[in-house]
Amino acid sequence: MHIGRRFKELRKQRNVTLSEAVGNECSVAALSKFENELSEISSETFIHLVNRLHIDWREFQSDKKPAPFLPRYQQAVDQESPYQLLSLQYELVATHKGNPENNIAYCIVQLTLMRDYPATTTPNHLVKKQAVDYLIRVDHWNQEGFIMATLLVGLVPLSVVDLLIQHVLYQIESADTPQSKLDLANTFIADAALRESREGNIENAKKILLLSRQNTLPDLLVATHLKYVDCLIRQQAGDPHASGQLTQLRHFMNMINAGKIAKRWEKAAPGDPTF
Amino acid sequence: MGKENQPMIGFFYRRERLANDLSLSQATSQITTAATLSRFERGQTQIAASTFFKLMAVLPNTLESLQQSYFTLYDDTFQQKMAYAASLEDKTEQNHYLLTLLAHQQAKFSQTGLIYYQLNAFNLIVRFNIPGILTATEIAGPVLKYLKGIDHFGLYELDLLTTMVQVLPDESVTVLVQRSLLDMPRIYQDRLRDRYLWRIINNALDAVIEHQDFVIADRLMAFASRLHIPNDDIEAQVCQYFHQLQIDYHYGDHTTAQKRAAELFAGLELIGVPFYAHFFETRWHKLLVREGSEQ
Repeated sequence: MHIGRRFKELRKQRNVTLSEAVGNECSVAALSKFENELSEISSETFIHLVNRLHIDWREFQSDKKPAPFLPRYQQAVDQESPYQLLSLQYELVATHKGNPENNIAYCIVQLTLMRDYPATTTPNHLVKKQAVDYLIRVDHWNQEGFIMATLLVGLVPLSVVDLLIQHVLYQIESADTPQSKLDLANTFIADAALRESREGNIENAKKILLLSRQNTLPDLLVATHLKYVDCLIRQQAGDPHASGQLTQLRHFMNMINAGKIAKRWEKAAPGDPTF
Repeated sequence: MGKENQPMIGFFYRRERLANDLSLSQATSQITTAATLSRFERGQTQIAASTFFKLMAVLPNTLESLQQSYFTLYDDTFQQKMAYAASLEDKTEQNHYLLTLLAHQQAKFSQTGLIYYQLNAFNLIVRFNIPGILTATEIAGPVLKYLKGIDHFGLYELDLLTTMVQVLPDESVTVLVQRSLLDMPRIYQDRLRDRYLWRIINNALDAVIEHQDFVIADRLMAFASRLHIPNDDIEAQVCQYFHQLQIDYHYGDHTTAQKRAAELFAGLELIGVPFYAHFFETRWHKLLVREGSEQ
């Protein structure tokens, strides 16, 4: 469907007139012509109009776009299904014949299998190398970038984890970093701190945990994750209160039907010196 | 930054293309030339809106995540201002900030007639419980009229509903919750959308329990019990657990519900974000007062 005609439908459903819709973005005549397929408007103007009317970009999506990777990956992780991950991996290999390691989605699936289901896959060191290269090379990480960095924490030597920490801090260096991005970074930081403590570097682990920060209200899951790791590290350091708090947190997670997540947090950073 | 401090769409596209490790020629994929895309990304030329959406289809991300990512380039969206207001701990400072924001939205509505400014003002009044400006009925009318015309609720409408379920009549809330749940996306389920749906369900439960409408609360819980909560949405898990405790208490299971509520609050307090513990403890206290167990 022509996106102008679709915009007209959505505008009318919202009872917004042409002149209310345009504001200072373009003339009423220009929008009217666009809506009636008589002319085009620039992408810049169109996005401003769509945002002005709070319409989802998805409304203008071509039906030909294949199902995106992330929802399918998240479903496989949610269902703790190595079979779904393997099937996703198989599809990605078929799509990216020759060098699937250059594909971010393939790397994420492979790293997840290596970290969470090592018996189902052969360790692929090229994937780890490509993932690290990508994270160092790319200036702006999207959600997939943060997922990949977090998966790597349990799979690469500590020196590489330290390097990734610097890149995570670069991603969130702006004082205005949105909380959703801080939540992604804080998840990485929790796993990196736990990995450090598992390697016996308690003081480093505590320092890494202090790198987490909030701008507004943090996601409850991420806040709980940070506290959980804090307790694990303090328990390892011999803090007499930590064990009791950890028991209380485990009870809290079981109570709200999220006990499996707490178990996953503990397993997230086993460490693998092979790289 | 583009017009009125909006981020340049070409700059945004470049950022997302590189984040997906795609070269210019991989991204253009016969849609346009690599040279045109390069100029577009640098703000040296414009491309048609339809071409832009074809380029977006090349990126493997969901359009929801791309749209959210675009908004992170702004430094002053209304949503960001709301989140900032919520994070202010000094109540005097928060009130001053909210009233300024409210006055701005009302002035923009008077100037432009665009309904979103009015809806934003309603959102502020209800979310932050700003007294003495409009009644629930005065807010509910225009909100219901706005939502009635829309075939498919987008993220904006879902966000609006998360707040407005607190002031809409209970029967309308049930209908709108059902409508939101049945309005399934065509191609894939998105996490952000799921999160809004769970907030709507839980805020609706919060409202009907406060109105002591336990028949509707039971009905909403019956819907909820048949839906999967994504593993990473523990806010929804906590809310569901908490609402069940409130319902159990209402039906007379005082001792167990009270004990479990105390354990829940202890867990939330331990996490160290005061907002969450305060939010649930306040609601529990109100329940006890309504049930006649406390003054």
